[in-house]
Amino acid sequence: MAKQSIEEVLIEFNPKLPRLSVSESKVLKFLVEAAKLISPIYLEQEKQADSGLDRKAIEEAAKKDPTISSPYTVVEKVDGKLTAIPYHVKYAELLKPIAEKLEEAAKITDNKEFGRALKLQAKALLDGTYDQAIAAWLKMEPYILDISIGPLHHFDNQLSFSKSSYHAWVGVIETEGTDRLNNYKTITLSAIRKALVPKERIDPQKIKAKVLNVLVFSGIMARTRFTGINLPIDVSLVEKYGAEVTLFNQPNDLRVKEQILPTFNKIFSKGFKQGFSEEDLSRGYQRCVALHELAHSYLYYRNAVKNLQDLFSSLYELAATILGLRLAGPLLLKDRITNKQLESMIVAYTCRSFYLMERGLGSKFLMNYALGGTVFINFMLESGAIKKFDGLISINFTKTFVSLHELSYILEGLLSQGTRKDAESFIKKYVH
Amino acid sequence: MTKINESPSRAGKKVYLTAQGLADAKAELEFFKNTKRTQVAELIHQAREYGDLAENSEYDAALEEQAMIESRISELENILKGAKVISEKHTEDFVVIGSTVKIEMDDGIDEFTIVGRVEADPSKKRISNESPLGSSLIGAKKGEVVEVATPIVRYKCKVLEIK
Repeated sequence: MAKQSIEEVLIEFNPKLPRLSVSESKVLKFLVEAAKLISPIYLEQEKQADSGLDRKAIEEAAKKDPTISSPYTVVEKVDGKLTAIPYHVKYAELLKPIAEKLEEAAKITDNKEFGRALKLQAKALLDGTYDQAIAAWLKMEPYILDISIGPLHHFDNQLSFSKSSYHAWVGVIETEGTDRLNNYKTITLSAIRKALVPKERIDPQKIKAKVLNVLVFSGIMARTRFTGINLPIDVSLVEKYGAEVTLFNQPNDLRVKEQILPTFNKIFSKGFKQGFSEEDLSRGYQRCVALHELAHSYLYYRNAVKNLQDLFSSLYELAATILGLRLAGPLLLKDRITNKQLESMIVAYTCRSFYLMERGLGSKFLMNYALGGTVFINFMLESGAIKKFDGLISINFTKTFVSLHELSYILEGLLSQGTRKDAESFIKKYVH
Repeated sequence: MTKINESPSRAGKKVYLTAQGLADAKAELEFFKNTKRTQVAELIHQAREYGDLAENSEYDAALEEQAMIESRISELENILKGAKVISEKHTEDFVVIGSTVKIEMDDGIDEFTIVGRVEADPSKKRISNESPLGSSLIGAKKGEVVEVATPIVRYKCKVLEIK
């Protein structure tokens, strides 16, 4: 594989870090080394995805052999028959040195709980006991160092079930941002929010939240450059162990620089642009991501993946963004954020959506988000909340907030009791 | 202890405080005047002894801390000057500062206490009487629906309970 390809799936950042102890610095070094070794595995997975196996044949075979639809298997043709090979078997050689690095880190860390989770993670990479590792990480008390490594349940293919992609991130907790995120979390999640269909929704008992200064993104994380994530995605795991929201500072800065600001400069008039500084948009976007990830906590509908199939991810992500923006309303009424900050969130997400509409519909990695962004823009144009004139955009914030409520209601309806057909006809209405 | 905050632009205005909030503010002022001032003066004295004040980071840090302490003392003095203590016994017929209210708004049910601005902390379920939500609720009766609005958002808020 060409060197350039490895670079595409491995991003190193150079954040300003707090003072770490000698042992923490050593542990961090091992974690970064382990994370970097994920990228070749992910590249193998990308090659595998392009192997030309027929999607319908795989879905048909999965009805007889459930391991084919497991998120942790590679499907290959062996003697003319579709066969599932567990990830830990298929990639055993590449995983061994990663597990060793984690073991080394586990030996020298002063934090016993962290060490235990690292050992379980190393074990999971080699024998597929992922749930035990997930449980250990979710039970852990907050700690300054952070790593997530292994197969990530992420919907980046178009099968009716999803295959996990190898990923890794390594970061150091940013205390101030984490405190702010936890403050939002407490305010937002402490109100009892009614479920559209209560028996269908899972209400996780525990949601953890942290903001990281990131040292490395590897595998699918580097491809997608997520700015935030809420894991696990699997509702049955959320029901058992809770979930954790993580925000990433440096990838957020990167997205603002590469997507939000250029789009902002392109689509708004000079007068409108004078109302928002770069700082407003950067913070607005991060706030938007924070509330998006927190909003997922209200959207764990038991059968949504099964019912909406390949359209689940687009609608789930959009529903979280729209509900997240709505959740900013009560924050404003409680004086926790200002009108300007809410406006900055809406402007930043509008920019992201226009960017996705232009660039994402043809991209495998952005497709799910691009569909959502396109629905958002066209829904807002239809309601008159956003207007286009002379190639420029204007936003009526009051109308936007009313439309967010309507859109949020439709999306939650689809997640809670919609069928794939319902989802398809809704998307078709707004994505031409 | 509750962190009592006051914006400089509001200095001199009436400040609503709970009895606990008032006691906390007094205790903090005393601590800052009698302990922190002495501590930082000692730090400045020690830092001076390291020599060359132009390149002395300890000295700069100590001066910065001194400025923060003096600013906090002035803030607390202003708060106490305009303090009005909220009565612990209050009516449950309608919402007043000090009421704990249960409301229904935007598909959710929420409960919080309305306090003066300096004790407000939404993450601890304490909402300022001057916030859009707090100010709209003051005077509302149980069962009443009030409108809460800002230039961007507009909600109907039903008072379910007043304690």
